Amino acid sequence: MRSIEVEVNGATWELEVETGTYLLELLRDRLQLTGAKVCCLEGECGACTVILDGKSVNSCLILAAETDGAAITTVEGLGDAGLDPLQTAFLEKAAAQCGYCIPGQLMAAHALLEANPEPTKDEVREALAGNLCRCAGYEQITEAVLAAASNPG
Amino acid sequence: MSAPTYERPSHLSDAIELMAHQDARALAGGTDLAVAMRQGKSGPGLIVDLKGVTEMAPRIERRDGFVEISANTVMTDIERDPHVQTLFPALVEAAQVVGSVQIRNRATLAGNLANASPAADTPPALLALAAEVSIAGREGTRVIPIDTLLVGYRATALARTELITAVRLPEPEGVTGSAFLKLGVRKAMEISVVCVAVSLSLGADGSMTGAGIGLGSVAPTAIRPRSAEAILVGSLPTPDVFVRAGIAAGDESSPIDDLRAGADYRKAMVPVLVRRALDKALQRARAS
Repeated sequence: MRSIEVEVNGATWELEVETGTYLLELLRDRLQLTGAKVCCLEGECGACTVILDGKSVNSCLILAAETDGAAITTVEGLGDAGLDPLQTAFLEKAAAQCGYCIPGQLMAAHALLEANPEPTKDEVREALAGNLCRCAGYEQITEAVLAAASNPG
Repeated sequence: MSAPTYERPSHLSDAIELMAHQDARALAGGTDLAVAMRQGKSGPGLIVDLKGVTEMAPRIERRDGFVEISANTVMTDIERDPHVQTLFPALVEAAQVVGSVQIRNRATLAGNLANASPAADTPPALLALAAEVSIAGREGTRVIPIDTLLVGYRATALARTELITAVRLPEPEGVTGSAFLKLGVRKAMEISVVCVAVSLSLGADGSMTGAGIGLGSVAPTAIRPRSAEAILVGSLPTPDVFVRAGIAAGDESSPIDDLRAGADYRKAMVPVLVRRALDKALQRARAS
């Protein structure tokens, strides 16, 4: 067991974690934040994407113990009150089909827009290259990110 | 499998001592180790997280004719560094195609080397650029070239308690250019069918005074085809010379059949990619 202090969506948690526990399971099973999804568990699909100290990461590949002192944002932490402009844009562009990949897509897109508020289409595609959508709704997802960038709410 | 012990040392000397424990594994970005642990392929008794080691803190700096990239520097830092962009475009191009942004935000250059996958993207670029690694261990520190570090399939010359502390690239002098090309079936999130990096230097008379080539996914480890480099050095950078160097590089490759491509196809693509990479590096050298 290991003691960590981690900030998740603005709340500071002091937790005892098993050293074999990953951030994804910590978020889902301990903190009941089930937005980050369990999928490939090998960093291929991006469904577990969260933002750690300002950077998009695969939470399936990070041990909970590694996050001591870190600040994490999950999809539950997007938007100050109600939906974030990115989420609104996803709805307006019908970017979600089955929806399973969407929390990861949103977090990867959020990290992109924080670093680059006016991305080109190619930059959006590059930033989301690690987020697979099995419904293949890539065009609508890209459009939604571009729409959110041009209308940041 | 029981949960491993986890340690996060602050100093290099402590990290080296921890590595002496049986079943210790070094953890940097975790993008290889976590996958191996998830799949049960690696079950370390002790995880030594290097991210707290001050001597390895992310840093790219010019020093004594080298650009030094510390062990905990991640791929996205390398992609964006202005010195690396100007001096080593081949390394930028290689770092840019490692996994996804999420992976590149965690994966380190030193980790990509230590993992020693034959299909890794950055080792060929580091070979072509004649990079070296700084290593620290119980017996002291040493600096060795990348081709001495990579000794075989997923094998390095690192002793059990040794850690890569930095990668350093000699600053090119005069008129130089480099390039990296990756052949795969997708543009992103792809493990190479073949990847090639080259660098060349031009003398005052227009002939090549130096050349480096690195090949990935065509041998048990990334390789430096020296017979191909020898064809380039001293010659004028003509299409004919580039073709001959490409053929020599293909002859030095020893690829295997796997699910991504056949050995024959891989071997046939080496001369093509070497030639194209040399053309690109030459353009860059002339534009510099």
